Amino acid sequence: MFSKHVLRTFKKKWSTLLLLGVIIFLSSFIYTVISSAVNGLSGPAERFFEETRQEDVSISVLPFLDSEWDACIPDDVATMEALYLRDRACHRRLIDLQVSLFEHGFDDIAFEARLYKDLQIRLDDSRHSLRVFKDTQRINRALIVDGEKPTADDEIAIGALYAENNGLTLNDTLDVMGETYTITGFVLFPDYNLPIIDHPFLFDSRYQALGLMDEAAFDALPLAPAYSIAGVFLSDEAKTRFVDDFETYELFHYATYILTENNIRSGAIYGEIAGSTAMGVFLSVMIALIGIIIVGMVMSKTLNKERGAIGVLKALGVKDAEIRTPYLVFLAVFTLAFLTAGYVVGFAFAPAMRDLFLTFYLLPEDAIPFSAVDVAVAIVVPFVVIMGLSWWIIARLLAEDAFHLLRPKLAEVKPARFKRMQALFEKFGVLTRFQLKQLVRSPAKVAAYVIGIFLAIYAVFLGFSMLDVFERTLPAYYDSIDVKETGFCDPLAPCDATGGEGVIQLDVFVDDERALLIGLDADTQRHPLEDRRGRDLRERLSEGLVISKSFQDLTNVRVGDVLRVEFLDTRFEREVVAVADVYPGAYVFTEREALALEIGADADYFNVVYASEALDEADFVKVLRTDVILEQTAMMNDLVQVMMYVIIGGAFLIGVIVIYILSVLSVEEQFYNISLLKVVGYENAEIHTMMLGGYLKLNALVFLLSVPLGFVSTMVLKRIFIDVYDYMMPLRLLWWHILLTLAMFIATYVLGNLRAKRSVDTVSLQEALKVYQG
Amino acid sequence: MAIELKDVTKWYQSGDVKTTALKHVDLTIKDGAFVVVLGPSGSGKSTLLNVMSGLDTLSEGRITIGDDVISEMSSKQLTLFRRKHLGFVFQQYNLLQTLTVKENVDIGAHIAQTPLSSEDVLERVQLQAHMDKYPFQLSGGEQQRVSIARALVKQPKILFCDEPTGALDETTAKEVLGLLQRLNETYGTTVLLITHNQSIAELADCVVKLNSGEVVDVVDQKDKRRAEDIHW
Repeated sequence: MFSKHVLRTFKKKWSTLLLLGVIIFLSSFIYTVISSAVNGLSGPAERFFEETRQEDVSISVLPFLDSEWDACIPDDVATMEALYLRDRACHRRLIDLQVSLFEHGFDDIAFEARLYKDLQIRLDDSRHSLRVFKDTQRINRALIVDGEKPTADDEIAIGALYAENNGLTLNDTLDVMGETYTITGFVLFPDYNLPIIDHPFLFDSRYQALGLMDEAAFDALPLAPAYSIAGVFLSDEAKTRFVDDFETYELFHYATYILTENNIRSGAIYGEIAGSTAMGVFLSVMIALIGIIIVGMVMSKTLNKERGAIGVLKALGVKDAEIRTPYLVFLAVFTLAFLTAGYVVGFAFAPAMRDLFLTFYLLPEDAIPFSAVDVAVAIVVPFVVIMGLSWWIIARLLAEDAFHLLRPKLAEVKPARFKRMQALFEKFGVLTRFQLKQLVRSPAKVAAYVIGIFLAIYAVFLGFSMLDVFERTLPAYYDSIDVKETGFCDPLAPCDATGGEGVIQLDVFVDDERALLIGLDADTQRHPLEDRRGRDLRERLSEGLVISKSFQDLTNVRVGDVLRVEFLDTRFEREVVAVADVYPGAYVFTEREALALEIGADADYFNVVYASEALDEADFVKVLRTDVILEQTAMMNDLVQVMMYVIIGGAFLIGVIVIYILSVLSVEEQFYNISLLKVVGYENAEIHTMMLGGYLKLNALVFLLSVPLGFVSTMVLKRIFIDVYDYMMPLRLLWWHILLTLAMFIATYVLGNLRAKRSVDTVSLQEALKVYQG
Repeated sequence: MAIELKDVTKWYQSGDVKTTALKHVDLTIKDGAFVVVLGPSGSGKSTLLNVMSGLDTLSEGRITIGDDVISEMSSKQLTLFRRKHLGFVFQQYNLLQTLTVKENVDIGAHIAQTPLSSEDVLERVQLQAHMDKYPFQLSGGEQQRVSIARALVKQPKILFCDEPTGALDETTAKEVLGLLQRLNETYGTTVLLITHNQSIAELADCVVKLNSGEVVDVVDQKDKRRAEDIHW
């Protein structure tokens, strides 16, 4: 009988309970979907890295030669590339020599050369980049996920995702530099789990392919290979010793290294897994906390309204357990239903979430394993906490005897809490005091409110700061210049700039930072340069270096600083004269002719052609099409955009729910006071202000505090990307984002308060005449 | 302000059941009078107070307060009318628990056109020493005096009191009644007090007796007594 009464009591609160259920569902869902997706990613990834022996460090050696290194080096050959074309045996001997030098210097690290060739292929009238690796034996071994390893000189294995994106299947053929290769397998490489070839900002696997050929086929490609030296630490101390000793090592001046954990092409997945797990736990705990506090409040309010009925039951001799059980059973069923639904739906969506990661990451795909820990965190822990809290609330009420339960209970007030804030209260009029005291009186409610609102605002800020993040990189850069195609000249053949403009592009070190140094003519038409205020910087190229904004963000270099530029055996210094407002990466610009003379070339030297029309591919080693680059970034941008809209929408939903539930609860607990105020002559609008105005002030305060925090966290996030991956992610929180968030926030507040305001309006005037229980 | 009820009827409909709480009530209350409405439980006292004060609507009839026909006013107009002219005191005091004594009175003052000083009013009800206390720190009588102060601070023309001593002991009740009597005499405020306690009727200029929703008697009293002199 009493069970029916309990059911009817909760039935009256169906809308609040439903939204509370959504909060409980979200806490379980968010944790499960992220954690399961990460489980589905991290397990196979770890096994893959272990099986294939992923490098711990990658060393790049400058490709210029010193004839003293080995007798096989001809006097007139200055680069490894030229040596390969002249004497492949000597080229190999030199690489082996470098590997053995490192092995000699670091006996607790295993080393192996990693050779690859970059070329372009045509597929469906599009030019795609292909990086073909030479198979390795010890480190960064290739994993064939389908088919066979290539063994003949007309066979190739390619990345599965690239194949899928371009409709290629096993036994299809691929034209590579005029030869036809049969696809024998799909392959993954542990050192390239992000397919970064063309540019660090581009990790789209539709246009960038990774491939594997057997040794003979690899050597037969008529191109000089690039290489790095991969290392695996054999002891725990190896890494520390390597990092400490590298600068004292004799090859230091010719080599740089990057640890896998800081290498975006191979190590970003570690940060992704750790970051996603942390974010999943954080969001889930925060949302669960809101849910737990609200459950506590709903239980407390409901039971206090039932004091009389419970008092009668106790007076009639009904046992505490008989009163307690229906409440706890209802709550257990309610909580468990939403937690379980969150887990089940989360687990069902986890593959989609994992596949979202796998849109970029080249990793093995495996079924998502069942995890008892996930069940514990998503269901058991919040369930136990909610039931424990509810048990305590009921136990506290049942501890009172029937006599006290039958008497109306006045709302508890703790004047000590008010006294501490008396000085603040006295600064305001009585209505504001009333609002503030409602807040001070209910710290748990305020905590839930602040957490909910802060999460919502912060997520919206984060979403906005990431909107168009990729648009600001290469697309914005290419928008600012007039280059439709970029042709890379063959260094050993004359280069024709007809139809374009000759520039110099060199991979250099600028103050020990890798950068692309671009030599432009002061009257360049293809590559205008402007600063933030739109001032033309081309004339200033002759005065020194113009750096890109992204290079400045990466290095903290300022105008007036003098930078050291190193290219092969050439070193010179230049002053930074301006900052160009573009984010293409670590780009530095100077005058072409001065640069040509600095590196010992003729005054009219150039190695790259910028063209506003199509170039003849036959004239160049490689031609990059700007529209392809833009298409790649647009795809990445669209994906990030969708994710950000989901985050912003989710944040909006949570904000509305939190405001809705808490404002409705606030009005319910003030039922008699509202009636009294109406009787006295207060208008509905004035009562809205009194009952809900405190939360409006709280909202305003949280919003104001969130704004600087949003800016700071945007800067911190940028810094983290720079410090960890040397990667400039141009996150940007703008004032119109703040204004838009404010508008959304006001909409959230208005929507969330609609029901509470309606409740205020419908409170009957005669309530004040009834027995007061407020 | 005088109150005039003409053929006032109020019924409640619950499903097919129609309950008539007031039946064709005709009543005139003079400006500045101390009126006690007397009747047993279920006689329609509270319904009469509700419709006279604009807290509830009529089913039939007409109510005029001063020159205003309140039975024809909209809800918003009624709110403004109550705000400007009426004060209320309830059996359960209905104080805002999070506000101090003075702040509870300020709540009344805030919406008045020409409020009295909250401090002065509290002095008049002899609560100046308790201004910074919270309601739960006061006795029942003191809480009822706060609620009277809250009504008084607006300088209402009419004070409606619904069983104001129902929850008080005799001594405290007499203090509260004495206070209402003095306010009526000092400010000329019309007081309409509802009670089932016959002894309290001895304070009134006019006693309205109600039974089963009908006015059964209206007695004008020339020799009303002081609050301290009554007993029950």
